[in-house]
Amino acid sequence: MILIWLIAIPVAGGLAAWLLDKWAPGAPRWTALVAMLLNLLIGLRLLAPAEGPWLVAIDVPWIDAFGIRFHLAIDGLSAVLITLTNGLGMIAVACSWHEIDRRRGFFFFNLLWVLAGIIGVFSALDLFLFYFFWELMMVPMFFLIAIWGHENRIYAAVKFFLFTQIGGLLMLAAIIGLYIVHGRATGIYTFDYNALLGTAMAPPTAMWLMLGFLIAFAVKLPAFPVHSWLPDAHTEAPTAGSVILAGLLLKTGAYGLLRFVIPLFPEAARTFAPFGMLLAVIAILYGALLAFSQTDLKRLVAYTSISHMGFVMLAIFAWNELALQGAVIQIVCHGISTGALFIIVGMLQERLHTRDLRRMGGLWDQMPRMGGMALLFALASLGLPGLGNFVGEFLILIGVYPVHRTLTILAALGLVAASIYSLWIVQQAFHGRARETRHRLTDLTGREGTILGALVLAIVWLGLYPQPVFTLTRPVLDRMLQTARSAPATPLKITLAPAATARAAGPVEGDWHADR
Amino acid sequence: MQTADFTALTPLLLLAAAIAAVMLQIALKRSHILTIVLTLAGLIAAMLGVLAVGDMPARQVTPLVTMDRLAFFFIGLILTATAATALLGCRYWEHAVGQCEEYYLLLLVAALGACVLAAAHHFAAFFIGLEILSISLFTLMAFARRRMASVEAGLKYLVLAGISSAFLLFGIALIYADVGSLAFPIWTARLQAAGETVSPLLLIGMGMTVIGVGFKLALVPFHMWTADIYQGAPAPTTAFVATVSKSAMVALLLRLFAPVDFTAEPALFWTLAILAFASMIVGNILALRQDSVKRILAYSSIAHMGYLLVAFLSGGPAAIAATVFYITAYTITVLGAFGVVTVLSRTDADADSMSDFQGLFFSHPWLAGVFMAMLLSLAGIPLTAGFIGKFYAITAGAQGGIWWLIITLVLTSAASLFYYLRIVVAMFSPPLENKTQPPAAGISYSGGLVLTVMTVLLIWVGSAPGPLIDLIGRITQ
Amino acid sequence: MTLYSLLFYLLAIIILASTVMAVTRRNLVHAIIYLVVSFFGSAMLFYLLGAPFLAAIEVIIYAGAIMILFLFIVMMIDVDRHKERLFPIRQCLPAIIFGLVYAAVGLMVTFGHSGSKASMPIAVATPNAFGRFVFEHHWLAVEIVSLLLLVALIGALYLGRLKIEKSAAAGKETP
Repeated sequence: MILIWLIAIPVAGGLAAWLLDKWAPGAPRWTALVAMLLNLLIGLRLLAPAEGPWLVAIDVPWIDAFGIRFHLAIDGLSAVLITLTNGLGMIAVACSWHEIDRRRGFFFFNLLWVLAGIIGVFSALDLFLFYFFWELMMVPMFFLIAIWGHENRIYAAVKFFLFTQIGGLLMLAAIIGLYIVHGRATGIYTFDYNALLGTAMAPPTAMWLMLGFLIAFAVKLPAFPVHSWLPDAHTEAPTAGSVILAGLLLKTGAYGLLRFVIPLFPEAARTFAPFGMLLAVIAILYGALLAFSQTDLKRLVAYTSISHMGFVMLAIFAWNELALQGAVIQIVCHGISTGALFIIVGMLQERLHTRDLRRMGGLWDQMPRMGGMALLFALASLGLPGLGNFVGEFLILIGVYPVHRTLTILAALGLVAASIYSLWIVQQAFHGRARETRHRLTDLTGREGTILGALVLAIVWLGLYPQPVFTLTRPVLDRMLQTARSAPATPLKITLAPAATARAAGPVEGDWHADR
Repeated sequence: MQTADFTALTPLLLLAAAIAAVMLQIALKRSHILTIVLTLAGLIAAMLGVLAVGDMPARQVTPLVTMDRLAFFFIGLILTATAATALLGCRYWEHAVGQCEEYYLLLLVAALGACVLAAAHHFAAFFIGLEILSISLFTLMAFARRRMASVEAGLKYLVLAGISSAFLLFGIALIYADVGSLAFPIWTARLQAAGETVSPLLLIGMGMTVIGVGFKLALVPFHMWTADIYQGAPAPTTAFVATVSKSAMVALLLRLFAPVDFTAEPALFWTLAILAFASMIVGNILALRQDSVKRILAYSSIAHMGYLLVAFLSGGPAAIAATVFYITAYTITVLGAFGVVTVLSRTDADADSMSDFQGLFFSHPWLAGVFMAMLLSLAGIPLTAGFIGKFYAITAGAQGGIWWLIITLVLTSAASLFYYLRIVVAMFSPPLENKTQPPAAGISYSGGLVLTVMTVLLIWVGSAPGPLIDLIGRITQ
Repeated sequence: MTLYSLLFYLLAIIILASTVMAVTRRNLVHAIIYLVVSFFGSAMLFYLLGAPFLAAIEVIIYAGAIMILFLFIVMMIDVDRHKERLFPIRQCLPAIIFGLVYAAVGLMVTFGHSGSKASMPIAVATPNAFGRFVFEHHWLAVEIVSLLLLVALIGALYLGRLKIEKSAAAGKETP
């Protein structure tokens, strides 16, 4: 029941916000805030450690003719991500408090529906239902960008929608293919995740179906060749939209890889893993390189997302426990730190009416508090120990090292690049001399301070004491590793480097790549 | 002639009675309201007739028609779509032409022709039904006599429909020469038995029949008429062409080709598969280049018939059900979409160019919402009937193993998003300056009713398709 | 070659030739006269095939009523203006291509499957038998066809009505 509430509250809150718009101009944002707060509080109850595989579940028939069920269930991984969603959702509502001045009701309607869709994606265990939520979160996001975005919003919104939709449709075809393969083999036609796990199929079939899923998630993540929608969408979206895009929507891609691609198609994924890791490393370096050459601050932050999510993809294809733990932490921390950076960019734009780094400079004098916040999150982004991102990236690199040494070293270069562009942001925007005469700028207001303060608390806490997240997600990851390992193993040839190096490092616990 | 014959024919008889009543009423005293009331009463009576006799065992009435559950389902669909068109026409025709009572009369006759097609069991019924439909349609298209585009559309349709009828007739003659009968079951049995060694007579006859069906369904390469006629014809007529004429033809497609096992008849399979492939590709590509909303919808209808053929060609047990579901979802969607176009139309011209829709969200948020829902349904986004239809089609196709058609479907429908989004984006763009906004009073109660019903159906079928799937499952057993 | 086939081919040649003449004439009246000849030929062909009723109908309705109406209409409008061809030359090419394809198909059909060729028995249907057959077995078709005629009538009436209001008439006159 609690799962229904988690989805129903944003849905109802969104409708209420839209309808209340006529009644009072301030009503929508309060409605939205209260709805998300309620959701956050309800969601916190999920964070207790699990007894069985699933913390809570609901499973009722939906469309009998196809064996489609309304099956929602949450394990530790979903619970962490849903809490992140609720938290960032509240932050997104709060940071649009004054920024949105047209059609507030419809704005908060879209915002809450995106969040409802994301929560649905994180909790759906029926593949049809998953696709349903997957598409459902796309349409309101399209409107958030297309109506409230910046100058080039239509182009960005259409590009975003087309990219994700092509991926989504391929995934739909793959889901149906899996459904039929499973139905033919067992006589039971179902979309249920647990039933479809371990479906036996011929390697070429598995490869094609896996690619269908993979493309959808890679577009979302975004992985290297299909990332080009992201800078546009992030740059043009309103602040809340960027926060949700970077903080949550990208995570659905990672979640999909983790939850579906590898457990459902372990063999095919194993064959693909070297290419996946190579693409991930390309994304890390390419994203960092392009971030460095941007002058638009928001675009810069957007490119850093590509780089950071590359780490997540690398970890997932490395498929061992350390790397996966790192990926989970990285997912959460990247959501928080990048979200915070986008909020800061939004605040700067509200005050300066520009995002151009070349027109900033010397802001520290007038806004020391904001400068401090920006510095902190820039440091988080470059992976300073003591902040959450460090834990994630460190674990990922340790986990990947035994699997592939060369790629690990290349990925570590990404961290060096990250420190360059992160400090570049602070230096260009806040230090030095003001390059334009400007009016008196107000420093962080109480509302803004609260928003950023909450994010600071979260990132510092995750950096110093990430254990609760490990406790929650460890059983889930263990089980996933078991599932994917229990499939008949074929020897893996890592074509990118001598296999001897990988073997010399010795198989670590839960190593999925080592020859057996 | 037995009582049971008449019982089975109840919906058609009631429809014919409504035609006579409306004709007499127009002859005695012209009154728009009265005509509408009589038309709707006739249609509702016929629908009740469908409900009353729809569950009876199939009965063949003369060699011509068989009233079975499939026929009753399609008749119900046709009657609903006709009623929606009539309601949409209310406000539209009030000012567009002086005396418009004949419109409803023609609508009813066209619906009857479509019903005959849906129940056809014999090439003669096929041809007669087709001709009734075509002849009423071209008058309906030219009905706005003041507009040259409307008259031109009617004339074009008359000529092209005539040519396609000639092909069909020649095909029927060839089939008769080979089979020696015009009844569908005998022809399908013959086709089935012939296997790969079909005689040239039968093959050419079959080809000509496909041309006749393909023309009405606007499959590439028989699609040339579609865009001009969708654009030129008055919006309610376009809605009628896009729904009633298509669903009747789909019913016929099922009767003609569904009993044939495609694996035993590769020539037929490949003919239809190539038509489907070409329709998906050409329809979507041409739609990308349009600036007129009605033309976009025209080309999108070509593509959608291609998708429908994918479902149909899968050949498994799910094929018929998927096809019926698809055309039902499509009918709901298109009625809604053209409903919005009709409601927004002015007395001198239809709402057609992108600028007519620009800023619609700000001037008429509800209309924009409805139109958006319809466009998303056409694009196949979840929570709409169109999505379930597409899902059903892909599932059926995957079960039939026609992956190349499925991949085409997936990729082309992803491309189709581009032009649907263009309309959506236009609706959400700031309104144009000094543009004559359609008067708010233009949304009549009748138009609003149709749009509400279609939107509710769209969401209902999109979120809980169980009942409809079950119903179709029972029909297609 | 029996007398029967001789007649058949003779009639076929007449029909073909007169139709070609009808299509190629520059003078509308001449074209119609040739068409009448073609219809008479078809009527005789029907008679030859054992359908006297159909033959009579062909003469009365097509050669009689419809062609005479055409003739009247042509006479009422100014014929002298139409000195150009009925069909421009550039339309001939596709027409010829279509015709050749048609001929090829016809030849293929005729000679393609000689194995299963069995000429149908000549059935003679008297008007009486024909009427009984139609009204006993195909009464529904008769009823539906009556609606076809009705809708054609209504459509023609509506579109042909001179003016419903002034603006309508004005709109129609502008080419």
